[in-house]
Amino acid sequence: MYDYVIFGGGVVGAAIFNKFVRLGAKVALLEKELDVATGASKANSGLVHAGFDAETGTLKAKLNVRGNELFEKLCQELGIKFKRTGALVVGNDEEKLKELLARGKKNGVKGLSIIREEKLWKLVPNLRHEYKSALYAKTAGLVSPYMLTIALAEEAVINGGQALFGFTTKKIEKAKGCFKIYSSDKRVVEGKVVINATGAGYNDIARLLKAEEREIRFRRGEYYVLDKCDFVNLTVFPLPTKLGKGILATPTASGNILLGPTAEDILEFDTATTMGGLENISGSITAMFDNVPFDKIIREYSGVRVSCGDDFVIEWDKKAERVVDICGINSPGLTSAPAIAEMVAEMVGLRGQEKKMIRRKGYAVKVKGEIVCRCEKVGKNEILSAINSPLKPCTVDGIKRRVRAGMGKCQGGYCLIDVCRLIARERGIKLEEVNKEHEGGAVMLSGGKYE
Amino acid sequence: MSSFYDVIVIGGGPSGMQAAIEAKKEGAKVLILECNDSLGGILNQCIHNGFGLRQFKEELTGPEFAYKQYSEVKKLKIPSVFGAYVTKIEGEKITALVRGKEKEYFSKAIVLATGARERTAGEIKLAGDRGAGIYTAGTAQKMINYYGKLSGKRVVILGSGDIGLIMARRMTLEGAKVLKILEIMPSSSGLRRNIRQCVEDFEIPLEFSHTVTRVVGRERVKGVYYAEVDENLKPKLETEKFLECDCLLLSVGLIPENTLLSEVEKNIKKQIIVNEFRQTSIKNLFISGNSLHIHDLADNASEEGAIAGRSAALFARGALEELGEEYEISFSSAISYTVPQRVSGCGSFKIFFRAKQNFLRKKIVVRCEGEEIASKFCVGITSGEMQEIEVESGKVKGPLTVSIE
Ligand SMILES: Cc1cc2nc3c(=O)[nH]c(=O)nc-3n(C[C@H](O)[C@H](O)[C@H](O)COP(=O)(O)OP(=O)(O)OC[C@H]3O[C@@H](n4cnc5c(N)ncnc54)[C@H](O)[C@@H]3O)c2cc1C
Ligand SMILES: Cc1cc2nc3c(=O)[nH]c(=O)nc-3n(C[C@H](O)[C@H](O)[C@H](O)COP(=O)(O)OP(=O)(O)OC[C@H]3O[C@@H](n4cnc5c(N)ncnc54)[C@H](O)[C@@H]3O)c2cc1C
Repeated sequence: MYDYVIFGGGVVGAAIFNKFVRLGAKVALLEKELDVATGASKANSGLVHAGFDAETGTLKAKLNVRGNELFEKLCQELGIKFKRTGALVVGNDEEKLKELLARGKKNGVKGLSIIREEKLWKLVPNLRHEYKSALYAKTAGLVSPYMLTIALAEEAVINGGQALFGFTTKKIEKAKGCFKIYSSDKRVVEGKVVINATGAGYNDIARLLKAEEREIRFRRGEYYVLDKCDFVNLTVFPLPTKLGKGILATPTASGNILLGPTAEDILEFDTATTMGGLENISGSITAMFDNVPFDKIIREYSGVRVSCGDDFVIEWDKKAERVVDICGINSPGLTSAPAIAEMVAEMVGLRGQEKKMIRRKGYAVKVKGEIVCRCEKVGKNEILSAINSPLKPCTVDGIKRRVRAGMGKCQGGYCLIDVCRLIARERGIKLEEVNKEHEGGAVMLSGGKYE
Repeated sequence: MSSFYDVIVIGGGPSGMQAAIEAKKEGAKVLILECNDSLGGILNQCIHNGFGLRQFKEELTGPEFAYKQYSEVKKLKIPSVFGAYVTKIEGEKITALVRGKEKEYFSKAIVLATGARERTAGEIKLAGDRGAGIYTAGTAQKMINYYGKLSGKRVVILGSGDIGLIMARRMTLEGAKVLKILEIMPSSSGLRRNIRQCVEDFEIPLEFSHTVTRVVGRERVKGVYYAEVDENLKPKLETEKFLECDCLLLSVGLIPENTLLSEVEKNIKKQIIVNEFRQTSIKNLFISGNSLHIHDLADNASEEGAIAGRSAALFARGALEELGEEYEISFSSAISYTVPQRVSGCGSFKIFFRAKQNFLRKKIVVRCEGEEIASKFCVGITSGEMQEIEVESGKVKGPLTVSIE
């Protein structure tokens, strides 16, 4: 019997999982996919926002600013990269920039200033000189969103939390102060309080819990990923519009460049990229920058923002008892995740000192072994170390997110098969049983005549 | 073991092996650094025949071709270090991760023969879902030829490069159904013989001026949308159709793997500039095979390796230093590039080039300051095949131009 059962292994679920374990609770995390960070938390801009963007007084504003403050220490404890590189909103409408600055100050954001011409162009050498002013936000930063999610969950697991993957909930029974949760593969988990942090899947779980179902909207954002280069050294946004923060250019925590995201309202959750969306990015970026290294594009992806009204929803369910609803966590959800975890802990009455945690070791090894991924220079022993890490990832993409094998310019051309072989060997499964990311997504099929 | 050499060859594919062989025959102390566990490079996965006609005058499979070279390497007692991934070249120093541990080697001359990689879905901005089942043709080739696994059972191939054509036949022989090959251009960049033997003989539909517009399938490929393209290669969306399949293979080009060089020489353009000795602007650095430009045949990559290896050995003993003036080779608009791009013209040499389109009954002409110094009549010139023309010793007195007339 768990004190808390969390549905959803995105950054929000993982942050709550981690916080609750730190506060000494007995917690289980149920994720329907084969790994954490396969939803919005793997496909976003990876920005730790400063907090000037959100409407003052909203949960978004509060949790963004608080979340941002928590990042340094958290990432240090988790042993992952966090870079406070700063961010710029560029545009010639000084009125608008000043509005943003004033809102930021009201939200409690420190380190905001307006910079102009030479100073701006020096920070962003490739910015077109038509752009003369910008809001500079010193506290903005970069984090790998999937590594943050993975590290949060790993640390929780190392310290006694339980994470269950491939857990498709079929039925939830309520009996005497407890929830009995059944998966389609006949696992049963019992818990006293449940937290629904399933992002786009919110209503599926709400329905099974007989909790409040909510109207959810989806907005897709597409990106280009560039190979490592120094096109920009900090995040550059255009002025925000009704649709969002606009198409930006940013380095990632690992040194690649992201161009995107688009903002397209869609009817169903769908992370496909589109030719139109991608053209849009090129157009917007060329309007802002010179020397765009389009020849360094190595990949495209898209993520879906899930919204429920204008603000985050984080509250006790009104229909079902002992259910915490978390819904509509779109941007700045990544930044806010550590603060959301604090808030939910407070709500459920988990207080007091954090216990002393055993820190995660990461995947570093003394000797890398043969280079398996040539582009990112990842050795065999690092891959083995990731395969045998606390969450026991079993997919090619899970390994890719942990050690970057397959993230370089050849996109796994050299290493895909070798990674599959190592996973198959360590898990004792057949080569054709290794999935790329999802159940039903085998990389290779059996049936060659001379197999 | 001393780590000082006359010639170190980076990469042990057909080009690198031949470079090592020729350097050794010139008397140099040679070492091969190879990141795989064996020599042969890409040849090891090319189990079909069609190799060796030029170099060995017999038709061989890839592994057979590699084995012949390997036997020579062994006979000449040329040492190789396996699991050695070279990460840096600085002057005469080479840094490699050997089984993941950093090691340094020193060599008077270096031959880079690191091969090529395949262009990816990301680089051609393929739209749609990104599930399992989208691979480059070379990856699919390795799956089936090394491990007996299929990349899919109902296959669409995008691009009609040679590896794609070869894989169309290979997958068919292995029991998969190759539904279509879609090529965005009006003609194939593949070898004529591959189109005949791998596509036409197996009655696989090859559609020109068509491309994939979107891939469907979150977990694994479920199908692709494809359409005809207009003269600007933009899909005509009204012609879009759906094709159910579980695999999309890409054969959309090879890209020379020369990152090692671009790290030393920041201002290299798309093409690496070499003289007829395959010497780069960094005098002790020679380059050959697919890492210099894409070869259709391993025989050609090997022939080029021989030039680079021999020249590197000469350089190591100081015999290549006084070449005198180098002249540029320019070319007419029907040609997309030449190798070499500069010559000293000390001895005879060949100019290799690719034509931008197909020609019938034309002459290839090399001129030096307006005067014809070499020419060759060709019944057919295709854009898919590398062309060559030899220039005799003593003819070069100034810049050259190559044209198709
Ligand atoms: C294009 C884009 C750009 C963004 N940029 C930023 C940014 O730069 N900075 C920032 O702070 N925020 C950004 N965000 C927002 C941020 O990515 C999200 O707020 C955050 O990732 C949400 O995390 P989550 O855990 O709620 O959702 P998710 O990561 O989607 O996690 C939900 C998880 O629940 C699982 N699940 C679903 N249904 C079930 C079920 N029935 N049972 C069990 N598990 C289930 C899913 O598999 C998934 O793993 C961006 C978002 C997008 C889409
Ligand atoms: C995927 C693929 C499939 C092909 N299939 C066919 C075919 O079916 N039929 C056909 O006629 N031609 C085919 N070709 C073309 C033909 O085989 C090539 O022209 C020829 O193999 C090129 O030889 P190479 O020596 O230049 O390169 P390769 O054979 O690629 O050899 C390069 C060697 O360098 C090593 N290397 C690379 N980087 C480093 C480093 N940093 N440090 C140490 N070692 C390194 C590699 O491991 C490799 O062994 C194919 C090419 C490719 C890329």
